[in-house]
Amino acid sequence: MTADRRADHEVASAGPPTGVDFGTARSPRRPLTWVTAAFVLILAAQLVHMLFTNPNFEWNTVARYMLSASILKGVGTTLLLTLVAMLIGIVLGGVLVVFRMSENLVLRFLASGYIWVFRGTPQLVQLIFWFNVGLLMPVIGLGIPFGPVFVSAEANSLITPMLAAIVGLGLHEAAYQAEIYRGGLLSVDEGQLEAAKALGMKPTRMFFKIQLPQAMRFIVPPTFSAIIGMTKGTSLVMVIGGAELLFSVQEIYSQTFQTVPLLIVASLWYLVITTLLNGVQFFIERHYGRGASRGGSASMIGRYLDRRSGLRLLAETRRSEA
Amino acid sequence: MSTPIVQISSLRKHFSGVEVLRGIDLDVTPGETVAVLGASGSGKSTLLRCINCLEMPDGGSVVLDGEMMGHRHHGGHLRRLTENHIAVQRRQVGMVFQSFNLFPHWTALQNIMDGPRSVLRLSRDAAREKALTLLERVGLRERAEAYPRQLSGGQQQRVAIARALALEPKVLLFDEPTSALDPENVGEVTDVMKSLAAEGATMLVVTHELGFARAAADRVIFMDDGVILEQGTPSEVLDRAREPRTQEFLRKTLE
Repeated sequence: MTADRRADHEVASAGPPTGVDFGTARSPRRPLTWVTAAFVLILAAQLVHMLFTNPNFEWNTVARYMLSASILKGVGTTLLLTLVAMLIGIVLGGVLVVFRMSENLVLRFLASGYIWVFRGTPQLVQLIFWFNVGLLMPVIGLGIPFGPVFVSAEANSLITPMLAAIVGLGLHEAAYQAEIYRGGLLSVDEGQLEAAKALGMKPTRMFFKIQLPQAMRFIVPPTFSAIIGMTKGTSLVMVIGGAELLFSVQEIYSQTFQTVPLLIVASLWYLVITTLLNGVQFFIERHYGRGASRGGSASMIGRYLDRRSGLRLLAETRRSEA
Repeated sequence: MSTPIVQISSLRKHFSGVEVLRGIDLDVTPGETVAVLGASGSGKSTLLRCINCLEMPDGGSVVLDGEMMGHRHHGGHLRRLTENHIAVQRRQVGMVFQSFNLFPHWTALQNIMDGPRSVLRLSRDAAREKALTLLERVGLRERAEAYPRQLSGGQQQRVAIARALALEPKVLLFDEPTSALDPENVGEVTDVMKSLAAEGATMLVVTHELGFARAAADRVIFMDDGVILEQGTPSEVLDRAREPRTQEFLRKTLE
């Protein structure tokens, strides 16, 4: 107590700060920032120097193959695989989460078992398994259990690399997607559901009008991470001979031995796709952020757009309050 | 005395071994405003939540306007209703929560319009008109297009009251409606509630606002440890409490 008073007194005796305007203050000194900057600049300079002087990058080869027909075909296959497998994951994941959270014990058990198996084994193993499913079931048919079979086909002719890839990637993704949905649904405040119930909303309507829209804010970011993961994960399909992007570049460099430039071609294409996805994510997140107190976008593009639309939103709020 | 609109008898409820309600008997007549007082943990909120089946009682019964809540007779047995049926019953009961629970992705107007649109099947224009009238009644017509987070606590709670009124419920339940508010916003909410009481709404109000209980309640109930310990007119309970527990509670609340 007395020490405090003495300290107060000392500050006072040093001259009371009168006529001060905090608005004129400068930022605090941050010497460490300058040291880091210098260090990073040196490293960056070395990297750039290497990019230009190291002939092994073969930039002209990169440029030559970037838009070549076989690479573009690989990009197309990667996009198609991502799209179809992700659609399966998103839809089947939705079914799984409804089962998982239902009152019905049997459905709950089924969904938990599915998630246990498909989330608990490596994606690569699953892909190879589906490609070789013919070893387990030489003939695949559609019919009544233990009864007549209506349509059937030889597994080896039915299961192409593309089909195995779509099934393998999609079923694996569904397990993850179900957990993403569940996390999102559980993060909606219990009071919201009670209010909906108290208003006499039936469960289905409550789910679609109250719970799901609010859960979307928690579902969209991890789902986009999953899409980006899927874009890159399609490269696994190479091992079962699916002609996606990585397969296409490998086919070329195994003959020309231009390994590095072709891997750069593949990487640049993966970056193009994932960067575009970041942009899409921003707009979807903004849509579901309605009424939310704060967003905060993960991507650089998002942050840039956020600042611009943030200012616009602020202006609108001011106008509506005025 | 007219027939009660709410008849609660021998109501019991426990949570993980703890008896929260230990035999509650309570009849509420149409137009009556009942203030429910009691320390936290005395079971007041649970009593309210048993009326509209947000909690399913372990024993006893709740009858609303002659209809058993959450149950029906079926072939000589008593059977619990499905959630879909309970949802229909709940439309006769409006509820206002301590934490407002407005839907944050909807504007004030949308929050109020949804019930009339989806339950009463009103046209968009009619529902909108009804919602605006209700907003007018709680003094917030000019804030119709605001999202909940753009409103103060008191304003949010007034929208929540308007939302609870939109289905023209037979009974209104208020679960500590002013406990989450800044002191300066309490009055605007209790004013709305007082006017509802004066207009003849049937209300059960769990509250710590003794001033509201005195001014607006027809009857005050004091709950302690899962039972109704004492009840009477506001002055009987607030000024001439018989039970020592009631006297102690009132003394502490007034401090």
